[in-house]
Amino acid sequence: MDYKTFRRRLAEKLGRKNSDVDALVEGLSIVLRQSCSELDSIAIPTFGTFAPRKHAEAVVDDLATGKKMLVPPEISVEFRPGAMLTKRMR
Amino acid sequence: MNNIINLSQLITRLAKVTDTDPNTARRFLRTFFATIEEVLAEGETVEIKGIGTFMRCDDPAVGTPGSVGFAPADDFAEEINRPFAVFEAVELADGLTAEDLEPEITETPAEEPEIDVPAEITDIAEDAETVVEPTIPAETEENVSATAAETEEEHKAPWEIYGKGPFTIEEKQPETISETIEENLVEAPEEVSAFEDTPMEESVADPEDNEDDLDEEEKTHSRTWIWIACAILVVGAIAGYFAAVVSVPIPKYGEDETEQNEITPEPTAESIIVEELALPAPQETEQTQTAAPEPVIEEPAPTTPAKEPKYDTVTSKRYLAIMAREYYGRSIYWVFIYEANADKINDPNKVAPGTRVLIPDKESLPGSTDAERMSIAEKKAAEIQAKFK
Repeated sequence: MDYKTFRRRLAEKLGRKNSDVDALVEGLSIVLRQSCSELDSIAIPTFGTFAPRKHAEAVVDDLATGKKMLVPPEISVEFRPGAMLTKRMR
Repeated sequence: MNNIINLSQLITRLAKVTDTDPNTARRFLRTFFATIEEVLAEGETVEIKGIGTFMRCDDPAVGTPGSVGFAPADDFAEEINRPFAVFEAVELADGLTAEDLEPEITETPAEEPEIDVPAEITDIAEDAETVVEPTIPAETEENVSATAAETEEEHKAPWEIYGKGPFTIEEKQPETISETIEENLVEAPEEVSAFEDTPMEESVADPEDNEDDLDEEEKTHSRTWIWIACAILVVGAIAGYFAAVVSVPIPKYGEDETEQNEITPEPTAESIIVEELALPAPQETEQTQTAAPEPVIEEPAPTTPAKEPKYDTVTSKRYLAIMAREYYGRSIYWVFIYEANADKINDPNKVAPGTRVLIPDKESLPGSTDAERMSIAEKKAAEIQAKFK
């Protein structure tokens, strides 16, 4: 499902316009980004947890050249689905 | 950092960012995630703009069947990794491993004093890259490429390669700074001794410098207190003189002793004549039989010289209502000030700063009682406001 379809469905449920939904989704995106930048996890009850993880710099092997590369640190966001969500998916 | 944000905190933050009320934010979040759940339950993948893609994992080869995966959007990942955007992957020299890098991060503080660090550091202190060199084993040094830049880069710690970063450079900088401080401390005594000669010649020849400094400080302190005490005495003497002068009654004719002596103890002919001339003068001008002071008082009694008209100037912070409150005790009495200056003021709400207005006497205001005066003022205020609306 693309974003437009999802947005229309969400707008119908909320009884709001698409522009309002866009603004709210963008606000949620900003909050998630700020939290993940500060390595703060976000727990949504019955849905799951967005947990950012910082990977320190590391020496990896470049398979293409066969040389060792020192890669810089990185933050990745892991999503851990909640028990209710997992149960429903099954 | 490393905190867990719960739903209520998320609602608060979302409401603040989107400038909505928390109820709207709460309803949106619940509907948002419920809709995602519905879409995933239908077996579809949902892409959220600016956040990422939620997908359902049914392939056992990929993950646990029934689990939900999340892939952040590109702009989302870029945003949260913006602090590291300046860093790039760097190719390491052959033979250099992660083990070679890790000990340099942790063990250099202990190893440096043992190895000939001061000599090597002083030699290469200008480049500020010598901390790592003593810890590199000889084998890797031999395998390093010929160019000087490459050798320096290879022996750099990660924070030195990347430059200043949020993780490691802070740990390293104090060491280099401490080393440079140690070097400077070694040289300091010589510089101090060079400067000591000139001030010593000028000051009193005492053998111990510390005692001289203390004595001088004490002397300056004592001098300062002495000056302060003298200043207080002088000020007190001047104040006492003025107090004495003010308390002594000044005679009207200017010379204190001579005229007083003439008038009181031994009235001479001249003084009697002066008195006779002085006493009737006020009587003749005012034509009253009372004593001299009384007619003087009666002249100002008809209000014109004593009760002079009051004026005030309008400023940006001092307008008619403020003046009314100050002079009459009620700001609504501004209407009376306005009426007294109707020739100068047109719109009472737009009085130009600098306008000098007449403040009518409180006794001249209409109304006999305060309540009556208030009602008159309110009526007039309503009329005036209606006129200039």
